[in-house]
Amino acid sequence: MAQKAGRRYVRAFVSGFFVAVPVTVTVLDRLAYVARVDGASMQPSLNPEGASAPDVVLLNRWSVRNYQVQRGDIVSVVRLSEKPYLCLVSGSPKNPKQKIIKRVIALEGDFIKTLGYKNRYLRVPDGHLWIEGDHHGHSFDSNTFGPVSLGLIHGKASHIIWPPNRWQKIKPSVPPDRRPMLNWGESTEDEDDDEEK
Amino acid sequence: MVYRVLGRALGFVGFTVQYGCIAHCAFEYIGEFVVCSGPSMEPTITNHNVVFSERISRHLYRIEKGDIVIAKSPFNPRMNVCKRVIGIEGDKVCTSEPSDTFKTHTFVPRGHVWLEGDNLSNSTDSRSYGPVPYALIRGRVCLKVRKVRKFYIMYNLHYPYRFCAYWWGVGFCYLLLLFLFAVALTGFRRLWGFEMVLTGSLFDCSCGLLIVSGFCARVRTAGESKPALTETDYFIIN
Repeated sequence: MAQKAGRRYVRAFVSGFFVAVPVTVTVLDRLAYVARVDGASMQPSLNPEGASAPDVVLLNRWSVRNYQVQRGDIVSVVRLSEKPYLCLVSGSPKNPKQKIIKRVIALEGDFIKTLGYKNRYLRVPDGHLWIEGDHHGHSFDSNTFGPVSLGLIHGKASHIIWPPNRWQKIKPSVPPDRRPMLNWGESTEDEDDDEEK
Repeated sequence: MVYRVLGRALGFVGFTVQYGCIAHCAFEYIGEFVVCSGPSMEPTITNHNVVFSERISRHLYRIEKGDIVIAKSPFNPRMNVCKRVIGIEGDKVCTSEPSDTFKTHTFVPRGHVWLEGDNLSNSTDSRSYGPVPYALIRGRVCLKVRKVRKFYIMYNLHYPYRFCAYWWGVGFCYLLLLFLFAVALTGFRRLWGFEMVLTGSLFDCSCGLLIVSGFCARVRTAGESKPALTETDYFIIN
């Protein structure tokens, strides 16, 4: 009797497994997923208390499926890290995939002034973005590696969901001193006033 | 009566969602059929060839020198390019024309690859837009489908996707999926002792596959990327 009940549980588990795994993977790939923010490069917008109380953000993948981002959005970008580790199996160095969360400062065609990049002034090429962390000195961003291709965008951070006292919807806002100087081929638009938290 | 219809409708929706998710996982992590257009990979891959690209080596970082890969275009992420990997990170590649007297070289930076088409005279590749980040690679081409009878429908939305239906390439895909799902469905149902009504299960199976075919038919074209007007000009003012 117990054996039959056991078999029924196994059956239910396996048939549930074939539903749950593909659906979960599809939701994480297409809709949204949750990620913890490490590091101090986005202070004070994200992680204001540092490593003691890291923020957890909701990364919306559905809204970037057509690569539509605005200036001031916080996005996560995939890169292979510059520091390789040695793969124990094959013995060759491998670069782990890194997901970097930064703010979009300029879109394609914008003409900006950089902070510490090899060129002082730059026009962001077509199909690329310029991303920067809010904490300028401690940030590994476009000022180090240059403009980032739009195809590398992974998701847009839409909400901070942990800790509960920091529950909020993230509004796109570009720091006033980092606005692009002009845009080639676009009319100048008036930005809304930024709300400093 | 209403409950029966509602029950069947819910069951249909459930199957749709499940098969759709299985299809997404298959196309994202295993492989997909791609239609290549453009002359940049001749004579290896000609215009309107259907190829099968697998995703497994891309996720396991096993793309090597000499592989033909499908990658997102760095200047237009909605378009894909199909090129050969000439150099991986750390390699030294030659960037000058074969006819130049003085050769110039460059090193491929970490996390990037150098792509070139086989038809060097008619290919826009890394020689014009520089090394491509590894994360833009979608998959590695491993099989080519021959004898494609040309019947294609062009449907240009404001995204540059082309909706093409090739009977052989896509039909093969349909048949394979139909076979696999029918086997899985009947196999599971018989094994686990669920009651099976023949007409009912075939109906569910075919409905699910019609939905899956909506995913299948979005075969992406991969060919020469036509970059926008000023993609390589950085306005550099010091």
